[in-house]
Amino acid sequence: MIPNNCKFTEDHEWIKLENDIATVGITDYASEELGDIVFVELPELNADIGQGDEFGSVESVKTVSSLYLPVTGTVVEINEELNDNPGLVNTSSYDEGWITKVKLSDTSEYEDLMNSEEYKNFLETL
Amino acid sequence: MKYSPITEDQKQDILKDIGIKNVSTLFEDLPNNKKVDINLPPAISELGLRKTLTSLSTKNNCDYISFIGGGSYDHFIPSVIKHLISRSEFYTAYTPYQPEISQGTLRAIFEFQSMICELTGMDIANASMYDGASAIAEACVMTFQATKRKKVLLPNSIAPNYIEVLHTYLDPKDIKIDLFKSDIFYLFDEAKFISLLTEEHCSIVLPYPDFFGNIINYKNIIKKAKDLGIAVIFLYDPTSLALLESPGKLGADIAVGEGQSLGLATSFGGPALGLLSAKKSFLRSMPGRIVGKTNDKDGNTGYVLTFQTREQHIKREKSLSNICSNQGLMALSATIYLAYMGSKGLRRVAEMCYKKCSYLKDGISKIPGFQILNQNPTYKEFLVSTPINADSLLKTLKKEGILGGINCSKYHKVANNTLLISVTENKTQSELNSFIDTLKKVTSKKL
Amino acid sequence: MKKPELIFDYSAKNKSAYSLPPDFLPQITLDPIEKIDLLRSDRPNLPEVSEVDIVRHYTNISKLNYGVDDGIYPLGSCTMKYNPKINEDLAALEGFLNIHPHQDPEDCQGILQIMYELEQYLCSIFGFASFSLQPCAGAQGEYTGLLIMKAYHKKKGNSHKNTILIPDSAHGTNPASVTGVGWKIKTIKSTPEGTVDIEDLKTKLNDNIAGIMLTNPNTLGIFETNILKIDKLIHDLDGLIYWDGANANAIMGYAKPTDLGFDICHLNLHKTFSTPHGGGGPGSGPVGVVQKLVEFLPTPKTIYKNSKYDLCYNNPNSIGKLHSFYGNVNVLIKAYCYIRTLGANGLKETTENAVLLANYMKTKLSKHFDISTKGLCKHEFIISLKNEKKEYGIKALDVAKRLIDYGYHPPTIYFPLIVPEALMIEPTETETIESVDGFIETMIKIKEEIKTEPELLLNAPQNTLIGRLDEAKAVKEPNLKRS
Repeated sequence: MIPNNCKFTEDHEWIKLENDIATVGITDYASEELGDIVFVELPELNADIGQGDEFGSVESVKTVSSLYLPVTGTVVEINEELNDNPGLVNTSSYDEGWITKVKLSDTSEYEDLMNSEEYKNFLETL
Repeated sequence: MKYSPITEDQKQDILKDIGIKNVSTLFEDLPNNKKVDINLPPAISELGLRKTLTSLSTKNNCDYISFIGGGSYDHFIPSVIKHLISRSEFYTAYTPYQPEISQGTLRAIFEFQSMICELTGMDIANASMYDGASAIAEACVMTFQATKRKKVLLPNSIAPNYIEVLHTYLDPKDIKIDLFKSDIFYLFDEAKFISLLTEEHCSIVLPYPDFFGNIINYKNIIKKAKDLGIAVIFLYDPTSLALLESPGKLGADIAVGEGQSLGLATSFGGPALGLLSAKKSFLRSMPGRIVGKTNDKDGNTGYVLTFQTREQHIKREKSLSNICSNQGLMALSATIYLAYMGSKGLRRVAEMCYKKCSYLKDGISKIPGFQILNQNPTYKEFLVSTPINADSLLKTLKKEGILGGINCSKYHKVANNTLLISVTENKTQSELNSFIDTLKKVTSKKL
Repeated sequence: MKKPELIFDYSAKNKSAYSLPPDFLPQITLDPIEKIDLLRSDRPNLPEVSEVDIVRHYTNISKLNYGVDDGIYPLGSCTMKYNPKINEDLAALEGFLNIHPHQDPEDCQGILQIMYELEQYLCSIFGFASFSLQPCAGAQGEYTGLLIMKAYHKKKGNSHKNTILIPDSAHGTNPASVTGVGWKIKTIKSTPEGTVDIEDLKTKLNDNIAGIMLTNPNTLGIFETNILKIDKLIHDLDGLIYWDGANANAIMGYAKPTDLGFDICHLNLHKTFSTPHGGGGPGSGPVGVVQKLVEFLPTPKTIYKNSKYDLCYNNPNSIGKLHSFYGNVNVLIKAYCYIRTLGANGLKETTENAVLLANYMKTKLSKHFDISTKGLCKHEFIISLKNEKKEYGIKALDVAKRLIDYGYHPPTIYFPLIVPEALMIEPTETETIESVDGFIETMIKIKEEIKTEPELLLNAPQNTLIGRLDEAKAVKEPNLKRS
């Protein structure tokens, strides 16, 4: 089920904005494609990351998938639960499997992203 | 044709099946710009090959009593090793990427990793590197990754050829080598070394023993390094660890070594065996293959190449090392050697290396004109100053059937008339006495 | 009673295997070591076993492996050809095993002659002016080659040249080696046929291009016919062209890479030149160069002067040393033996038969599987199981595991990355027609199973000691040494 309350990228990241803090993770589609996730490389706290820049990665046994930040922001929180339990990205991609929270300087970047309907259509083209 | 069993008749059938008239059609897409002329000696039969290679092997003269070390050592090699690694299931097998039909190789690597960790006191070990030199280089890169500091401090009491290899690996990555030179090259100046440690260093490399055989307690250096957040890399001799305290207990973050001493022939320097082990915090930055234990869905234990996402075939340009093929069969040899020796046998080997070294040092020190230069206890090697030119001494010894050691002025220009002499457990008392007597004889004439 | 699994499982107190002479120096104590606090305080926990235990254990576990001596090993890109036994015997002669790397060259004339002549042979086979035999593996060869390219550009005052072009079909060591020398990568796309997209290449050219790394025939087993055009584009920028020689088995006697415009290469002796894979190594990756790059080769160089072989260390522009000594020398001896056995005609026939057998297999299997190369291939070809995945949910991995049930080592899977669900097959010239036919029959049988009994593949392998392993657990709960 693709949730309605967030936006999406073509790299299969989801991003949910609350005031000026955005929570980022990867979608169900991505976590299913990757298979059993065994490691998540989290960003550094307070790191400034530009739109489209790599902020971490997600690993299954045989693949490494880079994560690109859909907006410009500063890392304010990281989900350290994933260090001990990376499988949360598979079991709860949109909820407990969140990866990082960033503070946005420019919320307009967020508005330009795909909504759930657009992402659903995008998935059908693959 | 040799090794290719397809007959001419079969070739014709194959061409028909493929639907082409001749073999040259298969290569039509190659540019015809130049005729390919390969100039090689005519093919020889197995008989001819045996004669040719046997003749070549006799042009190598190994018929000496040798006291040459310098990073490659003449140890006792148990005969079981050759028989077991000659099993074609081991040596004609590929890398164990398909674990279900590679449990032989995988179990052996797991044993190897376990044994190296036991010897070094470290948490994790990989399945081998090319040699000790490239192992240190990769260890330095690991510490650079961890700290982002761009300098490595190492003493020039490390083998000179290793320092050259380090430059080849570290210079292109802009990791600077601070080479520390003691005032007297064979006397390590601890205080001066400590004074050079800064927070710009990602790691220091401590040889254990060093190139001149010195066994040094680096505890003061290690303490200062830890205070400054500098990683400590030990460069050890694997047989010595049966006798000496483990790098792990002494505070090493990474331990690297040359495994040739573990059942491998000197073989003109290769194949060798790079040993790399570390604290578990380095797991994700450790290069090379690593084997782990797991199970299948029925609960049967199985061994498998693991943490493969570190490696080049997955991380590609983001991998920290490009290593693919390693020294697998040599690691198997070392595993069999360590099983054969056990800790008791290895301790006996180490004690004999130490004691025979002491015995020879003692005997030589009594010869007029000779002086033992080491001030520390020594393992397997020591430095001697000679009363006559070291090169001409070596030439004279050779005529007596003895390879006396390495002339150190090859590496240390100020080392006039010094000889690096190595003794392992395989020297008999009469060989040692013969060496001492010969030294006495050839130098007493000249004094 | 639990069956022993590791050598440690055979341990019993006071069992031992070692045989060493008695200590004739009881008067020498370990006090000096104890005085400096460095006497070992614990006992390393190594096995306590007898010689019989050792021989039984390693003999038994060896039977859990599969080597070239067991059967066909159709691993694409690995060239798993037969390892001649005479070469093993000769490389083990005492005069080769016991020679010490620090001995005077005058005592090492035999091995130096082999190294010198091997270099000459490789130059003749591939066209290069000189080779270094020092790199221990293909990857170390690539690293060496890139350093040579870097030195060349530096000498010409072109340090801004810092980028290497690499096709997306390249082996992972290629980009990893470029990063290792501190350079950048630009990836070139492949055409739908799997060759270098020369139009895409053109868009990526600029003055920062130091060179290009190409495998030819490429990793799909197809010859890059545009090679001379690519050469011109790169050489016009004073870039260098690197040949990844992993697929050398497909062109010996039919093309010399230097005639194709390559300036520098590495070879894999453990592929093309029959030296054994050893379960992961040791290999050897000699690096060859054209004349203008000779000065940069690693040091020392093997020379022949005044009727004697020697090691020359006077190479002021050399990139330095890669190995503590001279490389995997004993491996070189085996490659030397192989070349002496085959001669020029034998190597040419090797290439012919390797390519013949690959095309034979491809012809037969193309009736049942989707093969990316439509025309003739070189020494290897790729089957894509993307249709089977879509229709039946069966992946390349499942076919590989089912082949194991039939007693075969699977082909290479999931490489190159640009072909989905890839199965890359390379028979090599040392297979008999019978063994190749057996493999083909089995593949056809498996194709039927995909349609009618897919669970046989999904649950494979069933006929081995262990089934598919929980590799995720191996990462999530690391167990990397015996506890």
